[in-house]
Amino acid sequence: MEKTHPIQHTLLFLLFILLLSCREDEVKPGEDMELPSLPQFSFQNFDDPILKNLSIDWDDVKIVKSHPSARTDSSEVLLSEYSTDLSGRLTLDDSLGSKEISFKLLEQKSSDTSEYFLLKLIPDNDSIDMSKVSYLDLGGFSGTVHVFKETGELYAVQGYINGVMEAWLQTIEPQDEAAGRAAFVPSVGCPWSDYSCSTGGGGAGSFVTYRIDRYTDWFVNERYVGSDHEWTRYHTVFVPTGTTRADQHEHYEAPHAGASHGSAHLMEIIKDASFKNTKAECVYDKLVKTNTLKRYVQKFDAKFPVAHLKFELSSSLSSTTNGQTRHTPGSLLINIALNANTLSGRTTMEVARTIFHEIIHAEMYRIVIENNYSVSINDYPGVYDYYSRYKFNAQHQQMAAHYIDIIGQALKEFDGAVQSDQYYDDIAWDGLMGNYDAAGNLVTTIAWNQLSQTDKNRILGNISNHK
Amino acid sequence: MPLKKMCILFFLWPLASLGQIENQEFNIVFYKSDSVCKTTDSGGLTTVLIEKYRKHQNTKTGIISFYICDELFEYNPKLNVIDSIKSSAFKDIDVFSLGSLYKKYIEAQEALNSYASNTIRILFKNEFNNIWLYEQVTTNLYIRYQVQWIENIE
Repeated sequence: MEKTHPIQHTLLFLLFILLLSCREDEVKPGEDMELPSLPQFSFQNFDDPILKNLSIDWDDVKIVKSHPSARTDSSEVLLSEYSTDLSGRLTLDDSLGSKEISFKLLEQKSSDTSEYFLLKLIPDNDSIDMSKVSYLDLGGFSGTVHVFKETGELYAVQGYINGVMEAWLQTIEPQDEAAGRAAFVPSVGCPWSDYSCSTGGGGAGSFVTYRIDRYTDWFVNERYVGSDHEWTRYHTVFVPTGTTRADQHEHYEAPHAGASHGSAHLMEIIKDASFKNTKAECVYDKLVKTNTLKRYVQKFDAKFPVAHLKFELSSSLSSTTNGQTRHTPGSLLINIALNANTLSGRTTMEVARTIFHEIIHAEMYRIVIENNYSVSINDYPGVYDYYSRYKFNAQHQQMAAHYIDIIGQALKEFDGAVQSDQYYDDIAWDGLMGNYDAAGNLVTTIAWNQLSQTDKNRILGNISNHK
Repeated sequence: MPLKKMCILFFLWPLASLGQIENQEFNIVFYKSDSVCKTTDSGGLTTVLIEKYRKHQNTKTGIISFYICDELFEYNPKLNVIDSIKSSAFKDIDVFSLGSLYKKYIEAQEALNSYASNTIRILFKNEFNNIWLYEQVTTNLYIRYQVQWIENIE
């Protein structure tokens, strides 16, 4: 028998003591503490940061049993549809096209296995209330449904007319140029047999894959000097037969198609369910319709819109906080939360100012994130300068020095210009005078310090009177 | 030390600083107390006292938001670890105050940009990825949450 060294005994004893002490500190879940419950499903495989971070409302579920007859196997299928916290609005810059879209999670349960699909429902027009549309009962829905697999891959595109699925496209390949694709009825019947499907031989419409090119246009003293191509994306939609030129309108990039055309950037802003049908959404929609928001965001950055921007209401903000902009770690998602507790008591212009203020923060964050956290003095001299000079509150320092008149101008347009420019600029100072740092010291912005006492008094008076 | 080595060390210093804050463990106590902290009122510079420690749980996602003054720390059940320790073990833990954590953040930013350059490396708070927040639940027990310090602004 091999002899053991006394040191080995000592080490083993110490290890035993260590394990014993660790064991004493452990508490089994469910005994002395309650752990938060964990959702059993996530979209972590999705590349799209918005979809990756969506939340599923497991309590809001609609269930149907699917008949086995239309399927290749004989098992019964249970379909469950869950709501998500995502909805959105597809908007074109010229305000001609705008439609509400919604996302649902579909669980297809057969025997003991579940398969999940994320559904993106895009209506043909904006007259339908998307909050009431269920994929399991599409009623009068006409439009396109994108079906994503758990892996994030686009699995299928479906075309509907008045709740009846007329076309099903399962092989999705980006096209180099916009091209019509003949619609066809699925050869094995409907994908899930509880659906109404056309039994005809197709011809109800066609799928059109269109290409979106994003450019940044560069100007010197209002003179167009060139463009940089940013990215190309493809989008497939179902177009019913009989859609005529009169139903369509054209979009061109400006100045690519001549200065007379408006820009055709496709913007997808995500609204959390908490934001929907609130005063905040109403104010936001007014800002978008008047084009104020986009035009003034463009003023401080030629690249727009703010990427992956999500609006929500939060009831966890303190009573002194009107809004908060935050970056979700590990993603390109930037969330803007307005204070749900104080919203009802605030004027619409106050809410508009907060939204615009937070969008500027979001844009500054976007610049940092998209430049991999290293900002060049050549590309963004303002951000470089203020982050170099101020380790605390750099964004507020920059906004106080350079964006008061921009915010003021935006508020003037939003309000119908019923007050003087000075008045709107004064209101814009709200939130830009200073903040307490983590050590409890009040740090006022340099631009605020440089104002005369008369100006400060007038600004504080106008802000106070406006509330 | 040879000049070449000094130059290498000089240029690697920012990377070392980032690695330091990424790996260093920061322990913060979330007290259930009536402590307050100063903030400004909405619309001016009047000092207002707000509850220092505020906790909010999203019942749908399970995410718990811990506010200490205006700084936000989040526990995400999908990403973070949760466990517990006995109070007796707590005395051996090196605890940071919010002020001292923030000081580390400022120092790390300065270290990352310690030499003149045409680019500035901007440090986001979530790059501190080893932060633990302790919440006392009974006399003898603390829950220990791994949290993310959220980059946010009002």
